[in-house]
Amino acid sequence: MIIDVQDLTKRYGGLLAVDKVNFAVEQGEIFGFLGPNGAGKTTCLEMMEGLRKPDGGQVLLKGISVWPNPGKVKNLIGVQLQSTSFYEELTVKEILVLFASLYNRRLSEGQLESLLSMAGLEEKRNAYTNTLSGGQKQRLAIITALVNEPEIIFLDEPTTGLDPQARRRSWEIIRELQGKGKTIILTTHYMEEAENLCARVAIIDQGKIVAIDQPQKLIEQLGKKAKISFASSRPLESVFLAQLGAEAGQVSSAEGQVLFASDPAQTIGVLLEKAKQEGIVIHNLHVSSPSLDDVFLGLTGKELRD
Amino acid sequence: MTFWTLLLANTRLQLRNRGSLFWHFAFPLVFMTLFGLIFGRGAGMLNIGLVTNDSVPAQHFQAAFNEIEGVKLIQGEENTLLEDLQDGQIHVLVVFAAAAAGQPVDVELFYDQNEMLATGTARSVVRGVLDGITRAVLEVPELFRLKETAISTEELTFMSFLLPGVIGMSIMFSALFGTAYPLVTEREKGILRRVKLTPVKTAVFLGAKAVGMTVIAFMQAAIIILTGISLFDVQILGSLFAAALVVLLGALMMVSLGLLLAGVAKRVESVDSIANAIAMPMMFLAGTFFEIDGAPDWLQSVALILPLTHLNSALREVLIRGQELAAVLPALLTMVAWALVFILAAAYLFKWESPKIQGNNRKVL
Repeated sequence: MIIDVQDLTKRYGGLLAVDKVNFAVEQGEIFGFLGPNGAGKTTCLEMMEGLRKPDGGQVLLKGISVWPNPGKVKNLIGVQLQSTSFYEELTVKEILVLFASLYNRRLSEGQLESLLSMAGLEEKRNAYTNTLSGGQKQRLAIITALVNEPEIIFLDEPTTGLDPQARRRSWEIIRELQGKGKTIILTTHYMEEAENLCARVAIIDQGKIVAIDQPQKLIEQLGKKAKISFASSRPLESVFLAQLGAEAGQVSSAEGQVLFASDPAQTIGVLLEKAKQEGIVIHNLHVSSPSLDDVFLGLTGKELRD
Repeated sequence: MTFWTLLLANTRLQLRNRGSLFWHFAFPLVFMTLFGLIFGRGAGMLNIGLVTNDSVPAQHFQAAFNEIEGVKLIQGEENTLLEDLQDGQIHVLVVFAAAAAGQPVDVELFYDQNEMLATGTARSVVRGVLDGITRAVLEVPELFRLKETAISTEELTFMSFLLPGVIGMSIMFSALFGTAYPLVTEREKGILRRVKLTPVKTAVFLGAKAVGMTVIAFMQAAIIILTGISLFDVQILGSLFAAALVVLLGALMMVSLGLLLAGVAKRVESVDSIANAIAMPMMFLAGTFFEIDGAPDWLQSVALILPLTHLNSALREVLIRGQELAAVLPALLTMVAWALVFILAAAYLFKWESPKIQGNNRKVL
């Protein structure tokens, strides 16, 4: 157990941004924080990195407590912050050399080469950072987090805003790091990313971990339930929904109404019959097997996307 | 090693940015050249128009003027010269009218009453010359024997006075903007938070910035001095070593003020307004371009406190008047005191994180 987080809490005024969060991560694991914007993912990460002081609880990295003295873990961790910016008038190589020197390290030619090739930036070594594409900038941010050869790597939304191809390129780097025995904690609001990369994910909502497990297990938790989605001519009342023998999701503008039912045939039968009695028109009726997206929706009543 | 890499990076950032290159190096030279063109050359040169009738007194007049320094006599037709007077090309116009022998010569003098200073001087020069001719011709015995001695042996030319001021002003602007602007930008972009995650010491990180700006200050001083010597005949009397020490203290003082400014300014936009609000009045009050002897006493007392006043005066004494460092010790000590005040206040106010980032989180949550 390389990371141990106990009762981690952060308050902003009266708001509980992070509410008694507990979890542990094994060495070599890719662990994901899944949640919508403002769920407390970044605050949680920043308390673990030593950037933000918790109001309660503790974080142990390799048995060392991050607080009250975050200086002790600085050489142990590598961090890519959300919304990455660099000095625009420095080149890729100069950025890497500069950040290595901030750790009082000198990058050997070999180290520089392997970092650049990991990020596919060999050709861009002498390019100013403001000439890089979004994907290249994010990959530079990731390899900048590696200059001190950290054991634990924090990646805060490493692929947000990237196109699918650039996103896959970043995933390759993250898998490569895992292959080297690094422990990786990342936040994302892309389900696909969590399902593809993470050994385990914690679903966080309003500062609380509402579920924590392997992505596949989380999906199985919904059981053999099927996902029934449909749109209705007017909103269905909760009393109505209770009679359907299904767990109800909430109305969302994109997909309409979502239900999870263990016996979809029976639920749909009741639904249509009731709707007819009430004079409600049901259309766009779909039955599908649930994904991590649906786990999230079922647990938080929210869509994960922006 | 960390320090040198940071210093190198900071220097690259300053020298690769066209905006900061202009403000550090081109701006002071443009300033000095413009001032040199406006005030430096031909200041005090009087242009006097003359319409002569080739009479003996007129020839005397012409001969007398050739002996006076700083006066240029321009001969021509009355109409043309009157136009020149109206255009401000000449300061006064003297017209000798044709006269019968034995009669007083009619001399008419035209001047522009809007240009009181220059025409006043020109008019008294003309009167003096005419009186002199009268006395010489009539052989009037001299009542007074006037002997003129300039008290200050190193009467400063305007450009000599200006040069140390331009150095002081450039160091002030560059250090204020060159320190505060990048720091606040780095804070807004989150680069400072990223740096805070590394084990680098705050003193090393900011120290590299301070030393980088001091290097820029030395480059500025060197360029301005070389331009002054080669283009404007400025005489450097003092020791360059002493001047370097003054530049060093001045740069550190202004960089400290820049660090303080970075702590005060919440956003990049406010760096501009705060820095200008500090620097502009200081530039004029600190004797950059002219002494402020004419100002009310209270304003002069204010000027005496200002950091730039001490930098300018120490530079002027050492560089142009050739004084020893000991002679400017009070100014040097005042600069050190200011630097300490600024550093302490800056250390108290310095933030790694932009209030926007915290505010953003609060809003989202």
